[in-house]
Amino acid sequence: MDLTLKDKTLKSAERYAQQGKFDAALNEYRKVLDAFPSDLTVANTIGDMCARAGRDEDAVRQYQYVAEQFEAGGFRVKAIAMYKKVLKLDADNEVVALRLAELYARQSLIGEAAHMYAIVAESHRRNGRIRDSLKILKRSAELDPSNLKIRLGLAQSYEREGFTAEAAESFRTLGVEQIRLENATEGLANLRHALDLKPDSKQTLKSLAEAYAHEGNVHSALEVIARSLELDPNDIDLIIILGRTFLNAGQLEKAEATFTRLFKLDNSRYDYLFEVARAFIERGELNRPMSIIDRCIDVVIARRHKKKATAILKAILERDPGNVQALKRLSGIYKSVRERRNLVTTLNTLVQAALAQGMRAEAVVALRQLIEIEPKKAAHHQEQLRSIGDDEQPEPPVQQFPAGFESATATAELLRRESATSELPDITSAARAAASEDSYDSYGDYSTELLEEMVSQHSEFLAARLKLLEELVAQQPNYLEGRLKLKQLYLDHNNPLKAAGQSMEIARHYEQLGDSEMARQFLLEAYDLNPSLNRIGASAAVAPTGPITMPPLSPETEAPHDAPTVKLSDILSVEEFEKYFEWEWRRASREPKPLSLLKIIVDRFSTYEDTEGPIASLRCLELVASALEAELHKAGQLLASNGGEQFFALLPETHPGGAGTVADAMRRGVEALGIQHPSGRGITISVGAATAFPYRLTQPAALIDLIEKAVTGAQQAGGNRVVTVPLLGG
Amino acid sequence: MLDIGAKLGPYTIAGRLGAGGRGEVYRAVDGRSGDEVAVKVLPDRYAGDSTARGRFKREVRALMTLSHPGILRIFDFQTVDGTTFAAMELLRGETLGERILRGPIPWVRAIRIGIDLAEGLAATHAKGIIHRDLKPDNIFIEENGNSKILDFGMARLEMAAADDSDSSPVKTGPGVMLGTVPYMSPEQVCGLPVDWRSDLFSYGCVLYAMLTATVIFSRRQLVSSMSAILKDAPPSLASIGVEAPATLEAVMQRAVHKDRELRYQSASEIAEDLRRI
Repeated sequence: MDLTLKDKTLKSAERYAQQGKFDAALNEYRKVLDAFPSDLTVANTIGDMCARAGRDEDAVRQYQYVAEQFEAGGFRVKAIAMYKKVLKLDADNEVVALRLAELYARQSLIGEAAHMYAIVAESHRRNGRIRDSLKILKRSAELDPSNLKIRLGLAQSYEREGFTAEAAESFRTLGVEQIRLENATEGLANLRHALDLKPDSKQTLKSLAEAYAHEGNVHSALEVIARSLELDPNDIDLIIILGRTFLNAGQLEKAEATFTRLFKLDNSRYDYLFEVARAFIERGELNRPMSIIDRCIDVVIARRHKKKATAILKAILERDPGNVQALKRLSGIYKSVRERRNLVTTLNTLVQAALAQGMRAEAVVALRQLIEIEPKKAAHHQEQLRSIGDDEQPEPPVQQFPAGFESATATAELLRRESATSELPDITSAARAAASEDSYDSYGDYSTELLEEMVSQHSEFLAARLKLLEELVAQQPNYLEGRLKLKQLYLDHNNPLKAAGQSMEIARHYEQLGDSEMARQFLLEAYDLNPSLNRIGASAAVAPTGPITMPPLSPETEAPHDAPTVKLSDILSVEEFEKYFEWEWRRASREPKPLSLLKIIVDRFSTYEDTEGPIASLRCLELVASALEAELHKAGQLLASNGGEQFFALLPETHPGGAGTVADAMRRGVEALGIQHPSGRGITISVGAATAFPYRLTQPAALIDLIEKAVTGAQQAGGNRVVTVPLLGG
Repeated sequence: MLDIGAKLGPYTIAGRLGAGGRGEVYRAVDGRSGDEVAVKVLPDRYAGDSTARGRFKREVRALMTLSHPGILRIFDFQTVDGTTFAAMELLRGETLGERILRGPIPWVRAIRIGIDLAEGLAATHAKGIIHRDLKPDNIFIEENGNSKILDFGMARLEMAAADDSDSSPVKTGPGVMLGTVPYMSPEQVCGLPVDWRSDLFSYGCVLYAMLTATVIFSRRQLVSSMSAILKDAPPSLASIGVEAPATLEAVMQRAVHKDRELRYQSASEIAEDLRRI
């Protein structure tokens, strides 16, 4: 049949239809369809003819065929229209209703999808297929977790049908969500109901206790926790809730006892004790915090979180600047982490405070320490000792360092002294010349000593000192003493990457001097400060002998938002991402592996940008990017940015559940940054997550389309949430 | 060290950008145009005269006539009152070495950088200039994402300086071996005469470093690294958990072939293969 004949046949069919001769019209239309089987308009018209002729079954079959063809071709809206026609003729068609629900869901028409799911569920229930009915309701609830009405319906259905465990869990998660949304009355009621259904559920007890604690209902919280702890006395989460409940209720002694128990079970959880310590300080009780610090300090130092302890001691000193016990502990910490400058300052303050309070013995101990650390000022300190009546002469300090100073810094200092007396180690003439040129004295003890003194008294000189040292080191790369000081300053400024760079340079220097042990020590330090240096292999010039066992890394948790770990320029552009996405799509098309895609938008970012300006905005985006990237752990997972507030993350071989987990971790990670937004709600993100099985689909456009809708849905629902959409091609 | 405000010919020093073994670099203003430039003052040890230094000057002059987005532009090269310096394009960004310290570069980005570098190398090789010390620290990534190669011909100059100095720290066999060992070609390691294909080997090592944040032939000992360059097969990307198109890996593997006859024979050929991925 050529096109002319097709046209003629169609006209003839229309004529028959107008005359009400539907069978004749159908014959004509079928002739055309036989010749042009992909002409879905004709196929649809045949369905219409069947319907008009009262042949509903044929019409349904025809519409269903057309709908399936549209769906296969990716024309979802047209497929939806066809399925709707089917349901008009056959309202009880569960298969079509379910298909329609799924299509609505894929189009992110959540309300329509929920409505269809409800119809299907009801139909299943009427026909006695209770499990199927509940399965559909569950799917509907998962599609739109923010629709609490559906979730409540699901929980009630579970209960009505006798699925107690599922009902309890549904009521519990619903209650938790309601508490999160500040609907305490209904939240608590649902949690209590969940507990009624399953009285031994630890999870529900925990949720209820947390909710009571959140509401400040100490009595009920404690009652529930006591019941829970009977089930598991060492449940870490419960102990934390109990401690927090005491803390919120101002029962600090009980909070301390609870968190001490927690600390004994897991000594990495000292943060909670520090919270109690801060509460004690607020209350004006300054001794209890110090006993808390004494209990935790070894762990805190080992985990490189000494700033948390020093912050508490400084808070005490803010209230009581002459607190000798706090100063003693502070100097102890600085000594153990080898922060010479801070140690000297603290010891000097300690001497003054102790003398002012008539605590002569404390002053003597501090002065003796100062003599050891500052041999150049030994005479001055000894004079002080004599003036307070201490005639006992300590050992001469030359080439002696107290415990804790005997490693890198001390050795470098000793080396410097040795070189000053011309006792250079046996090195090549070139290196000897360099060492001679670069000896400490040639830079002038005067300038660095003076700076040291000034900095100890005026913190505002710190930046100037840093700059000067950087200049000196840049000018004379072999200025070892300068590098050691610079490294320490970088550490003081919370810049471990730059400190690692200095450690690496120092290691190279020792390597040149032939001191492989010192080189190795600093190399390890550099690796420790910046693990990526280990991967780059640094330089073959630094060749430590023997196997290097990397020390365990402890995540630096102090002030995470102070230091973005990602530069926006490192993140792929959208253009680069598209190329990468296409490649991953092609790879995933070859085997039945899922591919998940996230789109992330920083909520209300334009307001932030307008208020905070471009510099703060850039920093905010870098912090957000750092938080997002922190959740990408698997090979192949990648982040991209449009240069503004939109990000994409590609998660190869990740199922929807995994994508949802990553997306929610990102959401929580950004929220935890605590970046202030002018609205007062903090910076948050909206995430749209979708997953596809590319081997069942030909084009990735549908997946991109889906996440666009999902993220828009998340934003429209108020932001700070994740919307996931069902599997494509699954 | 030059003070701020000091004059070097038409250039007024406006600040210090950094220093390395190959000289101090300053930010300066060209009094004739008002443009900001970078001025690199060469260390004194390069100031004398020798055949190699003469060749270096010729190379710099050749580079001055070259305007290619993948090459750091040199505007001026002269000696004023005994100070030898080059005035160059002022760049903003970081070296590839600094970037790699933060971790591997995704292959799509590595290809983009790789194409820039290969095109830059092709342009300079066409003028008969060989880099001899191509490595991440000699590659600059600008803030706009474009990449440029720095320090062309400096290795040759260092060789000349080393020849004249008794205190030269590294000398090997019949020739002087200078450069950065893990990125050297087998012919450089053996002290043999090098041609442009030596740069292509180093280029392959740089490509590998970008993709993996590791140095392909780096070993714990210098000697072991040199031996690895001469003998070891390059590890596959998959063996260290890096996923990238096989065609990209093939480019890298061919670039680091030990036998220069079996290597890529031109940088433009590499750029072309990368563009096809």
